[in-house]
Amino acid sequence: MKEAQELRAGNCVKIGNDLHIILKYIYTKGARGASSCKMKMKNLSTGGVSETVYRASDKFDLVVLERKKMQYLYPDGDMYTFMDQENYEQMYLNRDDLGDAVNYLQEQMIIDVIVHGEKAVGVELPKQVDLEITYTEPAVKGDTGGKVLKTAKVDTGIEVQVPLYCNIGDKIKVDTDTGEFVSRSNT
Amino acid sequence: MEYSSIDIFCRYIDNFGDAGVAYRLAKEFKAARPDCRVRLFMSYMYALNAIESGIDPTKEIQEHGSIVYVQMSNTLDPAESGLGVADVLVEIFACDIPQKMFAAALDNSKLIINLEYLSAEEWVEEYHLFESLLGRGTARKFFFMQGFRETTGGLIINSKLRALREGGGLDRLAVINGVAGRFGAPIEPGGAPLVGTVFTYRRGFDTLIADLVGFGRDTLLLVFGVMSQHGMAATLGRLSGTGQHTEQRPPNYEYRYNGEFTGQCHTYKNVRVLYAPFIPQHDYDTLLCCADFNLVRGEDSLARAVLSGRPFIWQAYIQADEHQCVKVEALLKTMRPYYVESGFDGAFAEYCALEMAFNRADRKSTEQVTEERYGAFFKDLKKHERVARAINYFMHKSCDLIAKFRDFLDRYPESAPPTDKRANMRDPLQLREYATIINTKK
Repeated sequence: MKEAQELRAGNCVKIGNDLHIILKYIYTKGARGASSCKMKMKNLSTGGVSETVYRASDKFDLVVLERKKMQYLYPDGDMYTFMDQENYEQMYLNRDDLGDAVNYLQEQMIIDVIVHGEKAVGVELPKQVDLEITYTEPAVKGDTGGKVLKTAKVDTGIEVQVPLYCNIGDKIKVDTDTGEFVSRSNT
Repeated sequence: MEYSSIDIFCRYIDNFGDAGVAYRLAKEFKAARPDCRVRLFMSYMYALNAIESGIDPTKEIQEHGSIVYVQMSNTLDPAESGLGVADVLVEIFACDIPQKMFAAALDNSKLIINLEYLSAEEWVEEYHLFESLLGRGTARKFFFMQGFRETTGGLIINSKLRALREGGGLDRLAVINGVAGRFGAPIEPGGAPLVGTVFTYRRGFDTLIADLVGFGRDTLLLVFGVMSQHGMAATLGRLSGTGQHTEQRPPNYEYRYNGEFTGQCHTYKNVRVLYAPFIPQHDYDTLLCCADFNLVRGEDSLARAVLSGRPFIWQAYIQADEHQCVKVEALLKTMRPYYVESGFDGAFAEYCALEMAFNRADRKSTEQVTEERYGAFFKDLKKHERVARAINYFMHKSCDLIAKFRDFLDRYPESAPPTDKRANMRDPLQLREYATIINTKK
């Protein structure tokens, strides 16, 4: 059993008799240490998508589905194409299936695609990904504290709050659960 | 939906906020729906006794004011005890309903509601009335979020006090002297002293007293709760240079609701300080409405201060990493349009500075000299009054929790939005954007 606060996007949980894959996950800190989790989940039996809220301490049966290492190739409208690294077969996921993961996909990226039966049902992102800053205000010299943040646009199109010392062209590590800046990347 | 019974569950954590919300929900719901059976299951009946002395803390089960109060234990069995389960169950602040009660409710109740803590943060609107899929039984579970906006669950309004105010029956002098007069500190009919109430967590009040002295008006401060009283005693000890009131080990919790200072009255220059006794909920609500300003703490007292329509300063429940500041910033953001609309931008800026300084975590000790300044707050008191009245008007008109709660139950299942047709979840990046702006301003 896992508590709601331990789950993340890409996990599959059993609720009643149905399997649900978590497409999007937001953890919210409430008053006095009480927290809640909001999840967008897809019922793998019915295909229905639900937006639900749970107490952070609510318990779930975690179900481990098969994962395949696949390479993300390209988007085509709302469909995203992935290629199996072993047999080169292609699988497709739509934007809803990807949830927040769509914000971090980079072409050629190798990623865990979650498979149920013969079908791809979601992806599990690494905890952190490297992204490149494509636009931000110029860096401020001498500011190395990192407490004051500014907005930066990265190569996947989303905006990330980064410390003032970051500059265009910098590669940064971003937490895929929270969307927050972690550090500058050495690679 | 047809329903004739509601069970409310509350676990005592510390202080009286949880018990207070549960008690007022039970009381106000019963007042709104007298034909509905209302039971309150409480883990620590002494907390309820502190709020309503008519409740006997030693009894397992009792009826008081048409509400049934039940001592809650983890092993409570609805079948064995003969209590059964109600049509609607409410868990206060995600407290765990006893396992056997919950299991029975899954197949025998219609709805389970988690009433959540009060917050002004934007995400509250987007959690309100969202469902927790249970996957078993026939009952469905929803989150009901307290809040300050029309699209939230609102606040629990004291209906008796509302009727009294609307009928013009609130006698300020009588209300204040109902507390102050008992301890030899009444205010005179002809006099016009500034009256403030103080009910905070552990902290000092050095700059509050200094700025009241600087403000120059005769002032009466009614100080409630052991934590505030210890803090004030330490402050007066420092200011008078005697140190005689300094408490070396201030309490963490309101484990006693009447401390050793209760009933004492001290005067420092133009400020009289009365260490007031714990008073019933309704009396405290009434007093808040009659004071010139109120210092309050936690979510429950905040709600009541907002509903008083009087200027207030709020101390949020202190959390790790100064997370309470996020809560305070959200409240200030909610209040901002009222100030801007009134043209009181300057007063609001000063108010924000005071609130943020008041809520920094290092104010936990009564031994520390405080740094926040209140001068502008007192100078702008009339402006704050006007804004407080406007907010109060809006809350009464559009944010009545009991009315919203009844509406949800009465119209259920139509009132429950389908889980697969909700608007997109808010992008957390947007929430962080606001936090960043605030952080930058610091």
